[in-house]
Amino acid sequence: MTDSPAFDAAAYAVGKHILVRAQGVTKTYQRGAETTHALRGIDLELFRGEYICVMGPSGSGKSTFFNMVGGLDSPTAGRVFIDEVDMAQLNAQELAFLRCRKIGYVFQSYNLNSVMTALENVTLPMTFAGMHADEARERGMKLLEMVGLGERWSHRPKQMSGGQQQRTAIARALANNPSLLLCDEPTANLDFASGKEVHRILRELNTQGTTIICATHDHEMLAVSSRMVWISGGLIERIAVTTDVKIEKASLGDIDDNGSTMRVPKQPSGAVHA
Amino acid sequence: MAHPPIDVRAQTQLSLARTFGLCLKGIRHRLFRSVLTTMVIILAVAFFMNLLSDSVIAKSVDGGVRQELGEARRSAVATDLWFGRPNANLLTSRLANQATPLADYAAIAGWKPDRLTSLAAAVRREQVIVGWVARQDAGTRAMLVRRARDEEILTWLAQPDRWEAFAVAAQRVRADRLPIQVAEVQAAIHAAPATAAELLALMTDWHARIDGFETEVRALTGAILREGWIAWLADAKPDGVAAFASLLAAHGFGGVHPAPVVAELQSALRIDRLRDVVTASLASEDGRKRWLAEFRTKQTLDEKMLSLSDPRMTKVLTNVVPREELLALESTLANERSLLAREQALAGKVDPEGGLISTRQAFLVAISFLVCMVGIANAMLMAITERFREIATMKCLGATDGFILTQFLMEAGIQGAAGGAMGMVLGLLLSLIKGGWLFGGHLLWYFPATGLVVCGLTCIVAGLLLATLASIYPSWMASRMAPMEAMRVE
Repeated sequence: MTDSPAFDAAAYAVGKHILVRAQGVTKTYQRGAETTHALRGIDLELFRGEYICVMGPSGSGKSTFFNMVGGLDSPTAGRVFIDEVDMAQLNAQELAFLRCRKIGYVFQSYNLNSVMTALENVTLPMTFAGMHADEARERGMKLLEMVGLGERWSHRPKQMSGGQQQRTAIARALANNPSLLLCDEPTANLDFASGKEVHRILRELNTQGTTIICATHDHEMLAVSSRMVWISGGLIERIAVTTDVKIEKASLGDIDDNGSTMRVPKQPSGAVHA
Repeated sequence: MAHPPIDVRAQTQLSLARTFGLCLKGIRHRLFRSVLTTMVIILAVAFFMNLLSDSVIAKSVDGGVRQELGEARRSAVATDLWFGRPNANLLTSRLANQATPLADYAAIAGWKPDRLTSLAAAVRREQVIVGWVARQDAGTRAMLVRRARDEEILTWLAQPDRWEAFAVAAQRVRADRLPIQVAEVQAAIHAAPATAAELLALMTDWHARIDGFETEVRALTGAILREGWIAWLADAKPDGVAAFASLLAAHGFGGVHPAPVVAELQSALRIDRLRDVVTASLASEDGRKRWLAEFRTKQTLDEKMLSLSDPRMTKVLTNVVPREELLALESTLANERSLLAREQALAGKVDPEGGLISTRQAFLVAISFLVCMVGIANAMLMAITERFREIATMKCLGATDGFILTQFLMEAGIQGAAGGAMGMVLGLLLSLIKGGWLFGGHLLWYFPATGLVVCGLTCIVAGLLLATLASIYPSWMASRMAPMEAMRVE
């Protein structure tokens, strides 16, 4: 499995609807005389309803790729389409519209507004979308109940545990019913139990039809994903499809969570399409 | 959850009210966190408010004190006017004197104030010309006006051929120019006979009225000499005062309602008489020599009168002068003394015609505001650097640049208005304490409530503007922050 042949994209794409399409995306940062190539040409198609895990050591360009897909940054060359809309063609107002309604963001450090209650945090994107306050409150409560925090709607982030904060952040990401949920290491700051709860919620969302793209090193997360993408040195190193959800933790034990080198995990036979 | 295909439009613009609502949610936490920023605004605005309210209070009290002093002095002016027959020189010098209360004069004499004011202006202009000619050395003077002196100068110059000679000669005396224009000089010289005639008419009218009035007053009081009826008036019973007042009214003196004027006059005359009695009794008492020696070192009668409110003196005089008259004298003197003290406290501080703050003060205020703005801008920049994650997250959630800009400007504005309000209260308190100490009861009698409210509102607006203007650049920086900063992990 380690030296798997190329991912058979054509076979995989059959009958699927493309949600995100990256075409030769490169990104270079110019800092003085020094040029950093964060991305060297990424081609990737994400399909509606997929649950994709993106992995890569720090400095691999994973975060840059994430920003491109999330409409937070624009590529130096190449194009990113969301539902066949070229993001480079959008002006600031349209990008804000896209971020507000079509993409949900879940951050590693939750990024909740510390002076607002859980409910206020969740309803904030709805306010930006121009939703009526009563309607927003009603929907916000539903979302909080869905992530199991219905009772804690009036708590401020400081009064909640990390897991509860991240669940609030997920509820906030879902505020305007986005097509795409972008999660950046959502469980990296969480303990095992809280992380598990977050997995459960994300997986449930995925089964209900939300497309999820998730940067992670979390084994549990890999297990529930439908595809895994490894990025290294600004290029896609490997793509693997998970057909059997069951991946033993032990078999992934040699993934280096913190290190700069990422070795391809040994997959159980038949678990990953080569 | 069904996901329809993406149809991208421009982001919804949030109304100002909703932005304000969002802003208020966080503001009470941040208001106290950024207490230093607020402090800077409080101090700057407190300084501004202190200057403004000091000035407003001083102006208001000054106006009141002036009016009271004018009223207190009117009795003396009235006596002078009613019982004196001015000659032309006396009337001219009175009118030309800037300190003469022309309005009071007009009210007492029953003349039109406009007429008196224009006459005074004409007289002043004439005096400038006469004074200028009189200042020239003998040779120049002879060249200009030959032998004429004082008012004769004007009459002499009023003849056309002499005026021309004067104008030519005056051209040569360029070194010492008239403080008014040549055309004005000419106008004044040609109007001189008219002014003189008008003055004469006033005086004639005045004398005729005084004569008629005196005849009737003699019949009323039985006194032949003026001193006699002054004494009579000082002691007159209310019906006597009323009769005197109606006589005055019949001859056109003292305006429409002369009764209060006469009552005031009577009390002034009584005080004057009382002063004489007190001074006399002081001179006759041998046992009080030591105190008297001290008393005599006081130079003027007014100063002597001031020391009459000394408790020791009251004790000494109780047996000589009736108690209630002494009390009346004392309270009048105390009131005059406090008025004089207020006038002294205000001397040179208030320009009734001028603005609220002087140029120098305005400069200081501008400097303090500038320092304040630099401080706010710096604090805002730091706050924005601290809050990069919050700002970027908001952008990820759909906030537009405009929203971020408006939000930060509003936040600064609220902070500025709150700081302005606090500074306003601080500055006002300081002014009130200072005003209370300087003016005492006069502060309450002439409390400039409206003026202070206007100043207070100005200060709140100033605080709001200061903070908003200072945060235009930081807010713009915040609005330009890239949303991907939200992904950054420390």
